[in-house]
Amino acid sequence: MEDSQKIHILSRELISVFDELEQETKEVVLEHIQDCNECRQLFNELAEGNYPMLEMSEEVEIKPLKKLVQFNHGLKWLFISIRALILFYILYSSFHFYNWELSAGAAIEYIKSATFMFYFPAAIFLSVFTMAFFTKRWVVLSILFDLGVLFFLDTLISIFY
Amino acid sequence: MIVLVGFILGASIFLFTLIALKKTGKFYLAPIVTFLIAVLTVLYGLFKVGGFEGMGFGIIGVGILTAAIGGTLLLPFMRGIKQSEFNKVDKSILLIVPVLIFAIIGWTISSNKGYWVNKEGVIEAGNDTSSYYEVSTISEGMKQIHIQLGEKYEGKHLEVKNVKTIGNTEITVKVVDKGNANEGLPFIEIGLDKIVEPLVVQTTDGEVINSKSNNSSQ
Repeated sequence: MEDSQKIHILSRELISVFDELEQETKEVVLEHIQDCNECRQLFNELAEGNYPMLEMSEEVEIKPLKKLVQFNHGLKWLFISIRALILFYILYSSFHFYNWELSAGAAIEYIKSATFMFYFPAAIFLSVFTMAFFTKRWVVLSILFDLGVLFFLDTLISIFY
Repeated sequence: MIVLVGFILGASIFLFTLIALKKTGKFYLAPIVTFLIAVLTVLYGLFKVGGFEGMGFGIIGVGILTAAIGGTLLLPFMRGIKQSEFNKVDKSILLIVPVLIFAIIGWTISSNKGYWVNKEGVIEAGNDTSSYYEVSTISEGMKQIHIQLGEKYEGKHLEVKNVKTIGNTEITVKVVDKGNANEGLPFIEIGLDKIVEPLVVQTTDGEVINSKSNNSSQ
């Protein structure tokens, strides 16, 4: 099989997960799309949100790449949910245990401590997994979000109280 | 001790990162990640906590940094580790390390009771002495609460049953009868890192003890 044919086959698979690709891979796919009508059409359809119908054989047997995409999506949601759950617990417990009218300062202090004690270690592990499984974009986004939470969550809450 | 805790945390993070990165083979990131976490911990101690407490974060950061340096020195000798899928041992490490770290955090929280008894004893019974508590500030902004029981508790002793340190401060004391009648009125002085209002002082029988200022204004 020629290299161009191999690139065509790979591009057809990768177009469906184009947003998830590294910049270098994106450029290879885009370069191929410029010379390939079939891939360009598929790319445009997906860009417009018109997902082509799956063939019967594809419905029965999910391809490994699609399984990987599904796994990655599941993992992303899992990581987001874990972060959300920890933040929810920290905020909920601060409102449940503290009298904000009498002791807002102590409640803010609690949020700060709990964020460092529980959110920070969880964020480290999740970020390491993000490095292992996802693209650089996701790594940067998750680290920025975690730093924001770690350094500014208490400040943000104190603005409202 | 704190440096050791930092080192254990750092070594755990290094190991976790090293194993997780088997997927990509970018093992050089393991000491970098550990180093960045050490820096972050120190920065957090400096800018978010500050003061004497912030110094503790700095010491933990030094422990993590030591682990990062150790990991960097060890990395060239880890030739057996290569890019691959996770095996059973890897999966176990990826599960055990976070559990271990959260266990250390849990142990740290539970081992810090947040209070200590400064003094306990009895005073001579006077006329019309009622139960009260009084709060004062001791060193570095820490608080001391003096709990004095009244005449009906003559001959009894006081013990701390529980001090709730998450949320508003609730101190529960236990009145113990040691059979020494006419000994005097029991008191106890408890030191606390801080007091979060509304402060509640009560006995195990449910009797709420009022502050001295409230008692005198009544």
